[in-house]
Amino acid sequence: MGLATSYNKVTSHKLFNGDTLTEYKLKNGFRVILVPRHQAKVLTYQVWFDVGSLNEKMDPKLNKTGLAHLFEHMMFRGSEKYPDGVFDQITSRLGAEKQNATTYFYRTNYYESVPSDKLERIVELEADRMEHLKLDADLLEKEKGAVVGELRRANDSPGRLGWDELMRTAYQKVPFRYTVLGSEEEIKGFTLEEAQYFYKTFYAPNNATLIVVGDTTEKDLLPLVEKYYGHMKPQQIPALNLPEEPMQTAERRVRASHKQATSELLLVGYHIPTVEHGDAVPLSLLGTHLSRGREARLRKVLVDKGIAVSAFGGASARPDLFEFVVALAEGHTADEALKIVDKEVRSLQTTLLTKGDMERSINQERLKLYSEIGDNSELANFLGETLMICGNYMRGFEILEAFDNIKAKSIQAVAKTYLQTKNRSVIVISPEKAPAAIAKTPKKKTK
Amino acid sequence: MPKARAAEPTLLFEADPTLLTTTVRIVFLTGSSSEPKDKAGLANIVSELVLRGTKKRSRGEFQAALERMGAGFDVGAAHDKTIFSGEVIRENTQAFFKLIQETISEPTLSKKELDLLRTETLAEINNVKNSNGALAGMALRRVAFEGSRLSVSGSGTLSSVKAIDLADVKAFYKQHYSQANMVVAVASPLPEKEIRSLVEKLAAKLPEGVKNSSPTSDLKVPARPTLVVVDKPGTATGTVFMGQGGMTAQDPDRFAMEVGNFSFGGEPLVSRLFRKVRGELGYTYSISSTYSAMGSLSYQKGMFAIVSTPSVEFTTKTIRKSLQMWSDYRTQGVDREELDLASDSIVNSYPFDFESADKRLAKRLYCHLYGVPLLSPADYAKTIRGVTNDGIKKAIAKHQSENGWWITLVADANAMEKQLAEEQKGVPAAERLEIGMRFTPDELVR
Repeated sequence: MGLATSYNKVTSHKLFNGDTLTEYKLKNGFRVILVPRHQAKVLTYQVWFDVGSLNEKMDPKLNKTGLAHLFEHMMFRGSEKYPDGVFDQITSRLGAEKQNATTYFYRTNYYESVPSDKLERIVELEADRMEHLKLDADLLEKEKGAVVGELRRANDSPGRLGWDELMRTAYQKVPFRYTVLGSEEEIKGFTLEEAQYFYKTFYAPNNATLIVVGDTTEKDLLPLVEKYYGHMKPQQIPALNLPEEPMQTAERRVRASHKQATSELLLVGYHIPTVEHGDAVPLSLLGTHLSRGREARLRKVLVDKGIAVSAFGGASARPDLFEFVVALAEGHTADEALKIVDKEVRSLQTTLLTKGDMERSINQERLKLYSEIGDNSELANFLGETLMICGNYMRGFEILEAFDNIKAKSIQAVAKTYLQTKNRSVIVISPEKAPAAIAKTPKKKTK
Repeated sequence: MPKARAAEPTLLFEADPTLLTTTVRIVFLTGSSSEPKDKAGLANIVSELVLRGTKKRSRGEFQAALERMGAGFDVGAAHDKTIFSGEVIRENTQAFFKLIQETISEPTLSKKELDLLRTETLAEINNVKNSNGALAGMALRRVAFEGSRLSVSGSGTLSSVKAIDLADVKAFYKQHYSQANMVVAVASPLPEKEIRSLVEKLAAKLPEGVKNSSPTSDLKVPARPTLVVVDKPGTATGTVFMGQGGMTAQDPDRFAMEVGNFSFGGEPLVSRLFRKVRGELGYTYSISSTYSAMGSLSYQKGMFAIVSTPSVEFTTKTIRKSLQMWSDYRTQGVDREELDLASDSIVNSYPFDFESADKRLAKRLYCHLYGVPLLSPADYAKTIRGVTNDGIKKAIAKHQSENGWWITLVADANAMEKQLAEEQKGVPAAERLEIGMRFTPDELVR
């Protein structure tokens, strides 16, 4: 067992549902967040790395995207001790559920849920691949094939094209404009040396957080964490110095076509502040008012009238945009939907939400959170994502608490401040055969 | 098990005082299998209309009251059941039950709402053409269940939904929404006695009715692997469905078949299909096999399917390799190591079925609906560890075909034809895969 003094208890929080969350830190910078729950003999184990496609694009040694994601795949390809396929066999034998990994702009995570009597085995396995991954040229080439398949599959989706176009259009400087998956050319071009550099640089204990929710205790978990992670050496993590995005001063519009689209798709993105900003609270509630439930405003004015098959409006963090996404019904146009969205926005800017609207939105937010955090892996996801977005895993709970004091005029104020035409990008994806109706910019040829 | 009769509605209850919400599932034993043949989509339309206005409140008033109290209530119709699922923040459980009692027992079922819903449903059916995975699944249904109600999805087709009128809706509601057909499942921090009283009030508002017997349909398989292409020019990848007959939920061979399938294709990261076709050959991003291809296992014999997502240039290779691996598995079964891995994994993951009140409830509800026993961990482990390779081989030989595969995919049909010719140059004519049928996306939704 490791020394009892090699980790510190950083802080502890009582959550509103009665759970206790405690944060620890090992001497090498490895952070651990533990929420013990003993209702069932299972636990969720998640390792989050503070690295994603933004980091690789800003790293002068790489300056491209796609490696963070490709590397995530390589983490399942074996170490010296557990060769290719063995990790999966062992975790499967343990009875692991919900086992997977994901990569995004700002983070990469690896996760599984296991019976709690298998805790030490999963700590050992996860620590082993974090420290002793065997990067093999042949396996790298094979995995590139799978990743290219994943990319092509994504490119077959009109919705995916729409979102990529929105990022490219809304961001002129910040590398949100480059896709997480990278291009086919980039994926095929990655070398073993680049993968090794990426692993050594970013998969360090001081760039990682372990989140455990479920049937364990500090007494059981922390000695194991020390034993398997405590000796890892911290690394000098390159600072992520993102360029400043110039303030948008005029609306941008892009129209693209997709061979497989059979109806139009509208995406609109308005720049908003980061989630730490006080306006994140009313913006979050505004999204709920527009999108959650059968009484959601966008559903009533677009879906219930047969104009769209789905309609969403809400705030996203990193990228910080208030997005509208409307999938049109056949025979209806994005132009028609945009006029309706604009009318709704004008209404939000000029008319206060009623007491009933406010009550509905706040209680729907509560229901969503109450429902989600009862599940071990959902709570771990919630904490991990919030931590990676803003460095404060309690921010989601803070926003919920702030709803108690929010007024309708705050919603109106953020609608006025941020939902301005000059602050937005509008993307329309059409079927290839349909002529452009609202294009103001030249039509862009895509896949 | 509780019995379904007028004064005592069937209630499955899970207590958990730590819950912040109450979850409710109200199941009616009716679905698309009970629809008249030319009214596909009726069960779905009726279930949706139940949520669109009561005799006391308009649709908007009802939904606003529901959502303002911090609740959600939705519905989904499958082939053999319709499930209303809701959740409410705990302090409003009583008020929530009053509202759902009102909507289920006194829906307006108005012409105005039917017309609006029909417009929405037609738009959704048309929108399926944007999804290659959904199109390939629809093509598989079309050929495998040809002539039966299951040949189209629960939403119906453009023509069948247009044919549904208000008289159809009212007749269907009257016949199927009764006490005899209702099962209620609740997980709540409130005491069972309190919940039972609420459920009894709900049941009392419904007619006693007659319990449905859900009709089942035969599944047709071809004599040899038959390729069915949904023609969509420009497709770079596509979901490939390879389907044939599976099993029912009650089949005594189900444990052997599930254990075998774990090793063949059921467990994504360690199965043969995944390790070979994705891991070694790199043909596809994902590949797996399942006995739940047409929803969960039920009284209806379902479909066994191998589902993959290859890049277009590897489509033929992926299909041919999958067929060869199926043939090997069918004749030889699994080896000792595979069997041990499957048994350990399935037994060790069983606690996850009981990790929360909601999951325990879902498990109990499934067992109740389909007449299968809820096994204790010890009995479950004994059953799974009792599966042998001989048992697996016998079960597969008894239930499943070597060559009777429907293979459906979305592709550029002309490009696919060229690829088949190129990739099968040395293959004897009798063993070649050929396109047996073509659909356009429009034909599948029409």
